[in-house]
Amino acid sequence: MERVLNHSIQKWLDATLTYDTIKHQNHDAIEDALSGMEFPNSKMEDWKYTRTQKLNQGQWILQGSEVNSDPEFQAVSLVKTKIRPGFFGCLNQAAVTNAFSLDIASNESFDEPFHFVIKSIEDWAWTQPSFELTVGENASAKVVLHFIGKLNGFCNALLDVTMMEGSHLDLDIIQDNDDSFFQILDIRVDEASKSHCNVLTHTLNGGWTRNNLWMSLNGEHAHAALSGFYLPQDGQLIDNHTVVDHRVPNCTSNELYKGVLYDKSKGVFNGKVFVRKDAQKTEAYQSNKNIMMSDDATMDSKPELEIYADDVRCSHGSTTGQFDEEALFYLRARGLSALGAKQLLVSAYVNEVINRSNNAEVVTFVKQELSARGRIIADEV
Amino acid sequence: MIEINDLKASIGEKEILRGLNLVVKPGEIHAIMGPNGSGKSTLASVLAGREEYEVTGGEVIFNGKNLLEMAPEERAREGLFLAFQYPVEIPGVSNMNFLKAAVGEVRKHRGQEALSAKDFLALVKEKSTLVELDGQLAHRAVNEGFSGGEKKRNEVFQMAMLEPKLAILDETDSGLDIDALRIVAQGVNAMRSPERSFIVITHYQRLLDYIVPDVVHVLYKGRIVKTGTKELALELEEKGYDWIKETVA
Repeated sequence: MERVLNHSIQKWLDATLTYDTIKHQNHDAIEDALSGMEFPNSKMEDWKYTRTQKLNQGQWILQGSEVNSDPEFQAVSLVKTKIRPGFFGCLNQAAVTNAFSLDIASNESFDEPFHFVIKSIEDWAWTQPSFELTVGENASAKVVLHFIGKLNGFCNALLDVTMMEGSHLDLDIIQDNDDSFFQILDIRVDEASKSHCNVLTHTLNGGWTRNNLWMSLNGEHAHAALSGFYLPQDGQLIDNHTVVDHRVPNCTSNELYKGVLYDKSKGVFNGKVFVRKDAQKTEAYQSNKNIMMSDDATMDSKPELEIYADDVRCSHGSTTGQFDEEALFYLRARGLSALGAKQLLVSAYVNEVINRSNNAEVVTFVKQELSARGRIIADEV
Repeated sequence: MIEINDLKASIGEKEILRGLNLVVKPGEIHAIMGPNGSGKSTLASVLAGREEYEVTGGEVIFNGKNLLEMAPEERAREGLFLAFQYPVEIPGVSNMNFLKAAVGEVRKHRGQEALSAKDFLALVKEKSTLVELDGQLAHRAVNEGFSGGEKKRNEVFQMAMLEPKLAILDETDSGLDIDALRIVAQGVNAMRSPERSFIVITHYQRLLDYIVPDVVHVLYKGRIVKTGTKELALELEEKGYDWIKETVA
């Protein structure tokens, strides 16, 4: 069957032909899905607040990321990630540039984190790394995906996480991209019963960043924790779209995203929580908080709660405002400069999120990085 | 130490201080009493540099410098300390980090070297004992979950850490039981020195049993209408403020 593709989609697919990509096991289905799509634009609900023109206009050159892992992993030759509903997810699956698969065997417990550094260094580089992670029954692990994007680049990354019964995962995502760098990160987590997954997205920097995190609670007594912070400045954009899908009874989820927005930056938060009809005794908490440091910064925050069960405890909230003037005055009245007082308040504000990580190395690294860049004040005397 | 001349201040359209005069010399403790709404807390706020208040007239000279031209932090660094009537809770900011920053700024301004971590902790230990502040409180977030008494003791603890030249206590006695009041007063008394002055703002005479003032002023409708010795406070306690209002009217 001949596929007729939307012009813009065709252009992106044509651009994938210059690189020897890694095949997906459902390649045809993915091309079918793409053929019915349009390039994301502001008329689509999912892209209402995030502009994509500049990304679409880039003269991208598909190539592999430079991936360093500790311990070392062999790249895989066939990708098996679950087909995504959106354009960029499918685009990644249609033309994967780097693929890694990590299986934690049942009952294995690792104290040392698995650490991947995924780097893009060339100007106009377009990379599409793909990660599959399975945490076996009653296994426990810590995984870090540390993205570094240099110059004018675009990293469209995808990660599938499968949590088996009773498994435990701490997943820390570090995004440290240049001011002109584009990144899309699409994460899907499937949790079996009694599994516990803690995902934390540390967005240290980046010109244009869109994160999709979709967590599905498929077995009873599973827990999903998801959090993130962002400190965009200048004209940066940070967009976090999350979905927590409570499909069965007795699961819990806890979500906290916090941002401090400077200059002319823009933030988007869209957090959906679904509680299906059968998902009785669900406990789901969601919170998005933002501090605006400039009159020119904007934040679009949209928490959405859809509950079809009747015996649940759910709450969601979103606040966007300025710093507490009383707190600022109090600190200044003790001798701190206005800037120093704000920095101290920003640090406390952001630390609440960073401290939700169970990976002590990451916590230390992130705090040191932010403090070295003058974004926060390192804590502890 | 401080010289306030014909100070006028308002908030919004409302004039609260209407030509206040006050001179406090080094080592002196002045009590300012007065009925509700007389301008006591406004005076404290204006001296500390709260921006909601507009100064419409007069001047304040603090150790030879024009106080009203300074930002709040400059006033603090110059040695002015305000113990808040309602200390602010700041979740997430540890008392320690905050104090380290504050002490650092003040020392830098005075041309002193930064304290080592060890010396800083020793100082914390010494000063927190002064107000019987539990060591744990010092490590918690600023005032978060503190009882009323703990918050006020924390104010005096911070004052002891910063060693100001002039401390203004804004109704530090409000909401304190007698034990907490005694501890707070003990902290203040331990800091009395010929170089340090205090302005103690209070509604009740009770505090002045513990912190004995050199001079007592009565503030009414934004002006000091009566000045006397500590016996004036006792007289006010006995007779209330009505007789003052009548004499002024």
